[in-house]
Amino acid sequence: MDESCISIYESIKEEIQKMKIDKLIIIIGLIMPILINLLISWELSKGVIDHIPMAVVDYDDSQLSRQIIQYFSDNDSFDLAYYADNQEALQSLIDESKVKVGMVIPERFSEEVTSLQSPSILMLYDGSHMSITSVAKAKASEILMTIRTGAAIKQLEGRLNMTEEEAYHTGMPISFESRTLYNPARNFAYFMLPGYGTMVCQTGIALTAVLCINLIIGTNQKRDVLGYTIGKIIFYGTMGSIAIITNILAQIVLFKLPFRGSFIIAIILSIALAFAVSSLSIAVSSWIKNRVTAMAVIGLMIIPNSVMIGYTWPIMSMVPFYKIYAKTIPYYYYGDNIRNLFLKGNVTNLGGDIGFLILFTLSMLFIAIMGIYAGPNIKPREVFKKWNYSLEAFRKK
Amino acid sequence: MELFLRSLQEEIEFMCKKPGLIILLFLAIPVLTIWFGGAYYHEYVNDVGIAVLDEDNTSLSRNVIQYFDDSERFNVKYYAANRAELQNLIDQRKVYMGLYIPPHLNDDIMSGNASQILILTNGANVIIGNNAYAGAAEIIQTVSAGIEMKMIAGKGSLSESTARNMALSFNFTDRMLYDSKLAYINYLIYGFIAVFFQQFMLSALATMILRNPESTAKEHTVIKLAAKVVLASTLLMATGGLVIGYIHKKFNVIFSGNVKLALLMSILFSIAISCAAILLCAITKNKTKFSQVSYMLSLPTFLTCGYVWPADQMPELLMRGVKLLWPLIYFARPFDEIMIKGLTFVTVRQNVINLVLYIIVFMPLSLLVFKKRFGTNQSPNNIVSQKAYTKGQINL
Repeated sequence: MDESCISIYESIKEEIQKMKIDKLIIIIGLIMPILINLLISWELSKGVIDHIPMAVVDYDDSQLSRQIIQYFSDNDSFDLAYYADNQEALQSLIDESKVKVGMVIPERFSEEVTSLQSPSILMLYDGSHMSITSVAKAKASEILMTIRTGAAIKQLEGRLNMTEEEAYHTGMPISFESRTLYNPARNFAYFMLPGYGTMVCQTGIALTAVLCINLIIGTNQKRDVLGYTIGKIIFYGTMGSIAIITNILAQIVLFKLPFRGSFIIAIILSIALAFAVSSLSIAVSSWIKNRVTAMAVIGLMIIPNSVMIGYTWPIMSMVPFYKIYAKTIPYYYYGDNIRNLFLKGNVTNLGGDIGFLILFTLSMLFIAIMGIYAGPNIKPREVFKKWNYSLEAFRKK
Repeated sequence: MELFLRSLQEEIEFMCKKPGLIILLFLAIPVLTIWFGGAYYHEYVNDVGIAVLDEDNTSLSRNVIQYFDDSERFNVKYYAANRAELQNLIDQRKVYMGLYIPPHLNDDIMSGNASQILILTNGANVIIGNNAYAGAAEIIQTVSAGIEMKMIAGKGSLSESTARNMALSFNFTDRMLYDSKLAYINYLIYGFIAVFFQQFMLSALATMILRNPESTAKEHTVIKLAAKVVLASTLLMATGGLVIGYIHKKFNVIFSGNVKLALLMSILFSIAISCAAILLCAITKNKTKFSQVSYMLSLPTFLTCGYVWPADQMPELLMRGVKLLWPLIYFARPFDEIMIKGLTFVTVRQNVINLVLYIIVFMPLSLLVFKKRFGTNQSPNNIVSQKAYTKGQINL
């Protein structure tokens, strides 16, 4: 058998042996990511924020004002929790975080609408919690615009003797229909889970793979080092791939996330990412001898990925430096793609993205080998006898 | 007290010999906060690329498009020739929104027939989708209201103001409290700082506790552990406070809170998270394994602390479980609201009580497990092998 193949085989065997002794490898690399994913999927299972606590001050107390309040009360997005006596009381309810939305209907509101004085309803939102406020504001605006159009149509019918249809078209000369493609309900779980699931898995891969380089083999045994490093990448890449794919399956089967794309493409992308992350971690492991420091470095490189690649806050809104930095992160070539496979069913530039991940893996393999030879102090590290002995024994066999 | 001060001095001396610990305690929170803050430096999602399909091609339709192009939220990047191309541009992620203006829009409006503009938003990224939808709805409503007023004025021979009041039978004004701009940096940065504080407390305590766990467990355990907790939390709170001041000045992050209350919450949280640190140290008995577990916990603890997804929207059972096991849920969101909304003690009282209860339950438990695990003498070989493992010299 070719020497490199033996080295690869031995390297993988070594990791399997390690895994048998150190159960934490399988716990961190495989079990914890899957459990965390189940936990996060359960947390976000509702998907859409609803029953936002709301308070109302109705200074008018007319049929129209009560009708407006009823609209909010009937809408699932809001939970009419308080009727405040005045605006100050309402403000303190928001200050104390008892409600997130407040509505103030002014005195003589109904009268002013009838007498064409265009009164104003005041909506107060708690701006400290963006995810709640953005939903509340969109829903409240929708409700109020509907009521306002209805009121305008009635005015036109009554005052200008228009027919209902005529009044409707005059009241709404341009209507608009909005279609939210791929995620019509704007489900937060659909938006977050495909990428965050993998984020957790890649953290597991990184934190286990970064501990795997223990030794340097004699500097004249180039092929052994190559096989040794490839073996590690294969082992952790495979473990990571299993974690990511299991997680995707759990999201589809258990949590019913829509998956519209090709599962084969998802598998290929996931394997490419797992190998890229494991090679990066092994490169870090080969250069940084102290395990805790190595772990801190890989933690800093991997854990903030979802922020840095624009998975949530779009990259187009970041300053140029961050845009360039994002392109050096393997997850950049995965995050949007996997979400698109879930929600849109297709991906753009798949070849280019997979190509980058393969190139990244090969570059990290090269850097890892350099690290094993040079080490942190640019001198060979102690020869790990067990490795050479076992390799020798295998050759003899 | 004397023993506490002596232990504190010992910890300071240990810290001074460990550059890694100095970096962790002095630089980690400021550097990471600025690094993350930089990513959210721009407050809004602006210049969203859109594609337009104008099948009307009149001055009105061009006017509508001009409104979009003039808005700082949008940037008209493509003019599609047909619907398939419009859909394709969105599918290919070349644009995030499509605007379809149907044929005869102008004629239909003039003749009083129904006409509808279609907005297609990419919902895959909820944040871009929501921003795009809100901006588009606002523009179309404005254009529509203008036309409506003109039509009413024309049909009823009414004055401009009467027509306006008839079209807008009532108005509604939105007031965004505490953060009028609804900036993303304000939404997330205090949550990140809370998580950084948690993670660096865990890491620093692991380094300090696992340097001499046996002697700590042997006698005066509480005092010796207290010295470690005090040193780590004081330095992390100080650097955290400094960086909050910095991002307030440089990134315009809102800072209008009660500093004393924020400090009280931070002190209680640092003690609460120390319980978790002591327990984890006792379970893992090894800095490397401790780091693996604590880093793995960073993402799920952040995602389940009610910051990104509100706690009251979580399944009840899960929320109870999280509250029982991990104290971040009592700290991250209240800390943010203290800083941004200026919450008072009365409002956060329940969280303060919960943190105290957590400490009362978990501190004795952690100490018990710690003493049990490290109280018995370990063989010197075992200790040497753990140190060597951390340095990456040998296999397990």
